[in-house]
Amino acid sequence: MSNKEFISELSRKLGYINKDTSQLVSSVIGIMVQELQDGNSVTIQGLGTFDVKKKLERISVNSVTQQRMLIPPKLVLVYTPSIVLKEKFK
Amino acid sequence: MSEKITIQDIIELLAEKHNMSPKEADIFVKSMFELIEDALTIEKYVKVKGFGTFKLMEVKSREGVNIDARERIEIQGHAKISFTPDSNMKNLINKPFAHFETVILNEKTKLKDVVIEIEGEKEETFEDIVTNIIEETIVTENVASAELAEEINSITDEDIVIFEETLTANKPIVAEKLNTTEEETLESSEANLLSSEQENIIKESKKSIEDIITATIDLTQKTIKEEPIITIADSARIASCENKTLAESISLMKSNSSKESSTKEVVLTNPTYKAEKGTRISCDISNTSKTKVTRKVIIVIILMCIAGGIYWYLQSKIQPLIPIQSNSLVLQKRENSKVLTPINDSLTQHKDTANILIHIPKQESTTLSLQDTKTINAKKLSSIAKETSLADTVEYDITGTKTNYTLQEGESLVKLAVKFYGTKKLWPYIVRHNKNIIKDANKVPVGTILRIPELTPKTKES
Repeated sequence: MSNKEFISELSRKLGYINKDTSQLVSSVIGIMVQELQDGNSVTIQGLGTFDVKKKLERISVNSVTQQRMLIPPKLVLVYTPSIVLKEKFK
Repeated sequence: MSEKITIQDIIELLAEKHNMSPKEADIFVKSMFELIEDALTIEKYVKVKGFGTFKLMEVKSREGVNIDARERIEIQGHAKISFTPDSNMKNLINKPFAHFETVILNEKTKLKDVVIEIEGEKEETFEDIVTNIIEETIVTENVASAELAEEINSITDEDIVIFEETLTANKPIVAEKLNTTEEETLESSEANLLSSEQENIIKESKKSIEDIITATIDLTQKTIKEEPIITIADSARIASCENKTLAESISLMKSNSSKESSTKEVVLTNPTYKAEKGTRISCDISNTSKTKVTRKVIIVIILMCIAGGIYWYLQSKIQPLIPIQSNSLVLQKRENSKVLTPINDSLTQHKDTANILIHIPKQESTTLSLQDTKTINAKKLSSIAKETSLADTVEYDITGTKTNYTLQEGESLVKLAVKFYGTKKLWPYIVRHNKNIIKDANKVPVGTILRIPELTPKTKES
């Protein structure tokens, strides 16, 4: 399901127009991002947890050129599905 | 920070933002996440713009081992939910670390550590050299006084300098051994004087070359006369320390006699030394009380002075400096012996008894020493002549490489020169031939492959 299909499906269910729905979805995502940036983890019941993890810097070697690269540390969004959802797809 | 945000918090924030009623917001948010879940079950793929992509990944059934039962079991294939955040989302999350960039590392980045290690090794080798010197001195200690005199005859000027250095190094060890004996006052004064000796050596060495050349002519004769007496005195002292037998008394008498003779000579020499002597005596008297504390410090200073002396010796390739150094040492040693006599009561007592008991041997020893001086005089002069003809006065041309040689542990360029040319003074040619390999002539790491040059003397015509 693409983003377009998702928005239209959601607006159909709730009786909103597509424009409002997309705006609301983006604002929900915006809130989530804001919380994640503050270092909080977002748990959505039935879906799972979104968390920010720090990946340490590392040295990777290009196997072709034998060039050594220092990869800087970075923050990544990690999603852990809820147990309920996991069981559902088993 | 690091709080757990639930769906309820999102609803509240959303309602605040869009002026929605909490109920509406609640319905919207809940239905939104429900739709994601439903869409996943139906289509196994949901993409939300600005958020990311949810996917159901098929995991094939595979074989595993039950750890408890140690049986092979089949793990059923199942679906795994994967989430890939949107690139926009990724950037927003990684904002605090966004300024970091991947850096291509140079291959030589970590060589710094290696250099440090090599430096550490060098220091070790220097320590080894010092320990070697000490070991050598122990060996020389054991040699009898007569043998020492013979050795001095055969050893060249350089060797004498080195020997004297070793002797100075000897003295702390001797002093330690003397602790067990009753002659503590003697050692303390000796130890104190050693430091002043070393200082004087450095002072003397700093004199200008012109002065040295003029001085050498006068002093070489003196040294040749005086040196054997002092060496005998030293050896006698060493012997006296080691053997408490009858030989002790004889050796002591010998030393006494030599001291007397030397003191006479001191009177004849420069008045400046007398002045120095006076000050030193006072210093020594004051120091004797602190000897136990200062001994360690003195030993350290002596070691440093030896190191400095070696370094200075390597620096100065001018031959005339060497006899002057020995001269200075000899002169100071004479002062030593002079100073020792007033301080040490036990020694003076010995001296008296010795004088009473054996007057004849004393005379004999003095005559013997005189004879020795003559022979040494001649031999030394001849050796000097040989050295000059071998080393500095004649220049050599480097005509090709003799052999390649890997530097072993404990070997120096000087030792190599002795090995290949029979004289120490030709080591600069090895350095010249290995300009590219040897960075610092004073510190050549073990294991370096050196090219030993083939030397042919330069003809005067060319």
